[in-house]
Amino acid sequence: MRRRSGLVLFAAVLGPGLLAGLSDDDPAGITTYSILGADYGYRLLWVLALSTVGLVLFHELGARMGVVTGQGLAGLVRYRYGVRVGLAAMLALLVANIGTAAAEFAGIAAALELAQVPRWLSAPVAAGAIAFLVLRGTFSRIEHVLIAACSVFAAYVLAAVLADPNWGDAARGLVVPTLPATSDALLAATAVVGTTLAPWGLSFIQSYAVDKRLHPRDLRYERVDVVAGALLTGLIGFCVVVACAATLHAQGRSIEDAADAAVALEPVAGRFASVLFAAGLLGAGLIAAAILPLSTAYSVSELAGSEAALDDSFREAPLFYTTYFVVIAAAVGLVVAPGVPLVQVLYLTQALNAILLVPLLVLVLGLARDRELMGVHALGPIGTAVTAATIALIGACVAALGVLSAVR
Amino acid sequence: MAARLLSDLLGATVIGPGGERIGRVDDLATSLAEEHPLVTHLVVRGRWYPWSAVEALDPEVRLRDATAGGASRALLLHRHVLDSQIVDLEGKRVRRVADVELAEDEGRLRLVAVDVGTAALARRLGLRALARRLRSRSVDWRALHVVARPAHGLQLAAPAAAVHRLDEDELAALVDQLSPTHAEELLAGIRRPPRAPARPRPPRRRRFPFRLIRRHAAP
Repeated sequence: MRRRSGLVLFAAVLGPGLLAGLSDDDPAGITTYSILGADYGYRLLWVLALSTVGLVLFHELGARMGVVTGQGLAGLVRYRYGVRVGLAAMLALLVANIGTAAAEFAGIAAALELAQVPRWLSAPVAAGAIAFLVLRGTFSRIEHVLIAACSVFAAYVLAAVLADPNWGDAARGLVVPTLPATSDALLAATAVVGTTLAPWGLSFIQSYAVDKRLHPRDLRYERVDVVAGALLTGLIGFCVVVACAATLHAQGRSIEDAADAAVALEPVAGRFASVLFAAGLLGAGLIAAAILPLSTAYSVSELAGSEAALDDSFREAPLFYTTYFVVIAAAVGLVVAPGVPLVQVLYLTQALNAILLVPLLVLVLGLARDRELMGVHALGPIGTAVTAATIALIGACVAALGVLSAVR
Repeated sequence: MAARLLSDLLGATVIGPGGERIGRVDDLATSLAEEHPLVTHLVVRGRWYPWSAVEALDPEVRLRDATAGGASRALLLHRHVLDSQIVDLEGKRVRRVADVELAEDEGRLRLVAVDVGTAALARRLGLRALARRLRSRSVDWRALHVVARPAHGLQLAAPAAAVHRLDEDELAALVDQLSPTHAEELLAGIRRPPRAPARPRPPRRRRFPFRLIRRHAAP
């Protein structure tokens, strides 16, 4: 009886961890994982394992802060660090999120171009569908649709199985840390860290936990949601790496992006694996494209001091919905407008996300330690030390990424 | 009575009796004893100077006596009030305090109201042209209501009259807007009898905003 009620409670809190985690497996993430698998086989899987641990750590903090304080990250930053710091963080998030949303729509377009759908059609239609869902749906309807959409990630598990990988090698690569002594390998490894933990995911999980109205007594189950979401995020990444390692790496083929990987898979793993890969890319793009504008809209309204919820109507929360639509429109515009150097935009966006991540993590640590804010749920000395060490490690990765990209 | 804004006072240079620079205004402390509480202390670099030591506020804050006292239990206008979340009962929305309005009264400062409008926010960001075009919206401190802050020993500072005046549907709509912890505090506040006898309130009030401060849950 108790187990059943536990399950019911878990189903009720399920969402923030799952959606924030899986939105990190966006087209840019799938691209990074594909390249990692195609170029380095199973060898760098341990990086993915480590970044999954980081994801658990910070998403748990984000969800905990949202549940305990009832406020989102941008709102808490304004309360504790002042309106200027809050504004700077929010503007950086706004720019980075518009660029990232463009990357998601570009992923959707690339996946559908494989099915001969032109991008001037696919991106606006996808944007329209997402906007309609968020404007007309209630919180629980939107959540159910997004969670159901996450099942599309099963495509990558299937693709990995179809690729007939060497599971023993994959397991070894997951637990034995080795790094080829080349700057390219280091670049690929740091890129994985940068793509798994993302600024928008951090702000999203906290705002979303607030919007879901979770109570501190739900925290136990919410932790399960966070850990499950992060593990699932890592598992999908693992499957993408494994699928590409077993096929493209074994054949010595290199790829440019995830859509490229889907095409390259066909001769080596069969048509079905290729279609699965493309379908996964489309689903990943759609989920992330729905969540990015949402994360931005939460942050902007929190900073402005007019917190809004998905259950509000447009009239009740004009700033929230306006931000949502502006982000979608700008992102689609970047993808379909002729003459936009999309590759450069996406590259700069990734750089901005990486640069933004470390200061944001420092702010999160400061807030999570604040006893006045968090009470008994505040981060203790051990938690603080672990979190600070992780931030230092991520900072080192970001710095290495910056130096290596500049050198190349 | 001259009106003052907390955002103008914060960061102002503080000069000691000998003309030496002591620091900048970090915070103002108030006691919640009155309807429009008096500012009791000036907080500079973690040191608390009693307001009686303040000689002048312009052009910089001048102290006639630089003997600092220890910190005490109080409501800090910067740390606890500015940018904190409040629940506006009339608009039934959650808002944030964009500025704190004070009144200078014979050399003493009183906490009069909080501004939850976007204009105050723009002004604090230095966007004065924008601020003139935006709405200002201030809420009388007497209409605000401090909820449980065990860490500072503050209980309900005013009876939950404003909340009581909401009908059931309105109250349900408000509770619906709040995070579960806040909702519990609000409902607990309604059930808990006020500690001090309630002062008679003006019969009609334009707004019934409600103030919430985070539960600190001191271990």
